[in-house]
Amino acid sequence: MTPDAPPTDAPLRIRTSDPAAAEPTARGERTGEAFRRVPPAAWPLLASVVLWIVIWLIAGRGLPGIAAGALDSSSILIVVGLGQLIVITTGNANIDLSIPSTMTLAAYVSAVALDGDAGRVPIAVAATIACGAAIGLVNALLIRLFDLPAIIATMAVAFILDSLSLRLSEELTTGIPPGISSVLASHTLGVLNLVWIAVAVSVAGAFVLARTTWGRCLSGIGQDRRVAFFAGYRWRAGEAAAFVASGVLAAVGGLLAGWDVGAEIGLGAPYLLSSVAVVVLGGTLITGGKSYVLGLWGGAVLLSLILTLVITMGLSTAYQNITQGVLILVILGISSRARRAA
Amino acid sequence: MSPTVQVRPPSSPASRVVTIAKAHARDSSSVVIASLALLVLIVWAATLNDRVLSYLGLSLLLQSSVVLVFAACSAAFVILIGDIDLGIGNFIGLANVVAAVHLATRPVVGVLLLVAMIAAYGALAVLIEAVQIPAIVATLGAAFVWFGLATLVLPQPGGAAPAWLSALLQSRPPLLPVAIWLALATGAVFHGVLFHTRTGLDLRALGSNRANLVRTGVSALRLRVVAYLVAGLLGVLAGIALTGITGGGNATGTAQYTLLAVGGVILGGGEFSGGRISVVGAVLGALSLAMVGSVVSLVGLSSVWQSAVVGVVLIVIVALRRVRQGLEQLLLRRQLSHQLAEERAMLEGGSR
Repeated sequence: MTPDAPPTDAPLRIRTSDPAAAEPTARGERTGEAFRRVPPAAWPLLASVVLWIVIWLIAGRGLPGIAAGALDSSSILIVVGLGQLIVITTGNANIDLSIPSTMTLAAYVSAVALDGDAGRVPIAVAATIACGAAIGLVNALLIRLFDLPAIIATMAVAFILDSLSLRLSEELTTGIPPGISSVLASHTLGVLNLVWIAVAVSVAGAFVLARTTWGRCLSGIGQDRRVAFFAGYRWRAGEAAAFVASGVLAAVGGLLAGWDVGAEIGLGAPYLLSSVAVVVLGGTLITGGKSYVLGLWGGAVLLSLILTLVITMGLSTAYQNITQGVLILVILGISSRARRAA
Repeated sequence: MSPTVQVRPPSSPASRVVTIAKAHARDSSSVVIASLALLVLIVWAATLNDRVLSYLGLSLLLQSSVVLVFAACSAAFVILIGDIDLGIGNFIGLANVVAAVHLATRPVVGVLLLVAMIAAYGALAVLIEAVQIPAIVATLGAAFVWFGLATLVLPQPGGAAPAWLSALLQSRPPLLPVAIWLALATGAVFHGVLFHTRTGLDLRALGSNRANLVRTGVSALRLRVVAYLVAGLLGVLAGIALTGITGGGNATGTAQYTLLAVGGVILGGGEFSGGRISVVGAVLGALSLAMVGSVVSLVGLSSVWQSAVVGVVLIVIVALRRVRQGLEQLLLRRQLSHQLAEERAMLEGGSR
């Protein structure tokens, strides 16, 4: 899964936070070598499998059932996480903090556009996607016009979107027609339709990132903007498109969540941290330039398996958050050690 | 200065003083913008309701700002060294529930737990520096842990604020409301730490030019731990203040402070490039953000728009700063070329 081979090695090295990092010791080099052979996306998948078997041993419930449950509950996170992944890949400390607010707003926009009528689905979907694209465009324009760090621009936009959601929640009088929710919640070939949507989105995402000019442009600007520029990539447009893509994917995620469980204020809130968590758990570099769409699945399934584990053991959900946090630190600790040694 | 021949063309001491003064002016003008924003908000509020400027009016208006002031200062110390803290909101929530559960009944346990939380922030710094986990990821993982611990300590909202805390926050010191005194004290103390101590100088250097600082033999690990300990202390203070204001603890609902704290730092002139933040600015920025809500309701806008106004204010302030920086650069470039021409003329005149 290396979408881009940098033209030369020396100037394209991803800068770690410590330029004066110590030389690896002989022992560190050897363990690093062993670590390096494992692709980063494999770590969360490996941890997921281990957790999967542990839950099976504790609960005695069927293995496929546990896996299906984990996939079901991570599908929306994967759609949304893909947007975050695309933005993070562009480097320059880019991150999209407007994702949760975009999701909430999209849930309301889609519900209002639907107006309780299942026949208006195409209109609602189009309106939601347009809304997400517009949000992404505003983010990108603010970043480019005022030369803002993405973190500030997307944060300011998120504040504005929160107000719009509150305003729309006053307008919303109709619920989601039961037909739509049941389509999302029904199974095709034994797999939840929501999961199929996530599969389709991530296959498309993986293809775009690995095989198209834009995908290569994203990794290129994530590794080194100047080199991407000299390589002839239109990096400004590429970066702007990344934010638009993130906005659209967040809107789609919000629409799915809204149609699945109903629109509510705070619908997107949990995704602020978890959308970043699945990206980094999956081995995508937070500094940009290298992305693993498959790792997204590993990360999301791992997070939801932790919830399953906590519930099976009859623990308070407090332990879910603690375990998720510790796992993020441990897995990232291992992989950054490996990178440093490599 | 070495006694060898000076290579650079000599510049007059006067022009050097002017340059230094300009650098100072540039650094403090961000603070000026933040305080102007605050002033505009206060005056605006005062024209809408003349009781705003009274002692009681200001007390009510700024009561809840104490938490945000501490939170913004905490974020300032993390942003200072070039990091970003995604966990501060949940950390404040944890401090809030620990204070609400223990401080009133078992003060010793409560204080020990709060100190342990500060130490945990120091440990986070070790993790970032020694294991080289990017700060954004480490604080993200920690955010989950803080939230989990908080729901473990207090699953349902409850607890109580110790009497001394409520008394302190409701006290009526002379001249200004207690919220303003606390903000002034916080700003003064941590401005002092940052700009008048050796460690403060090192911290700023760590943010702006890490490689050179490390070459002088300063331990980056020690400095990062210091910055995170200060950030943890301020986070704990924010949590304690929240306990005093709400009179209890609630594990959920403090996540908003993660973004608001960063907003305060940005409003106060902080830059993400590291090494360039102002504690006084962060305090003023936090006060402004806290005022926005009150002004929105005074203007008669629905409280729905409160958050949008915060967003717009952030964008406008940052945009203004960019425009100013652009103009400054233009002026500076013109001035430099002028100065160069003058000096060249002087040198040529001397050699003749």
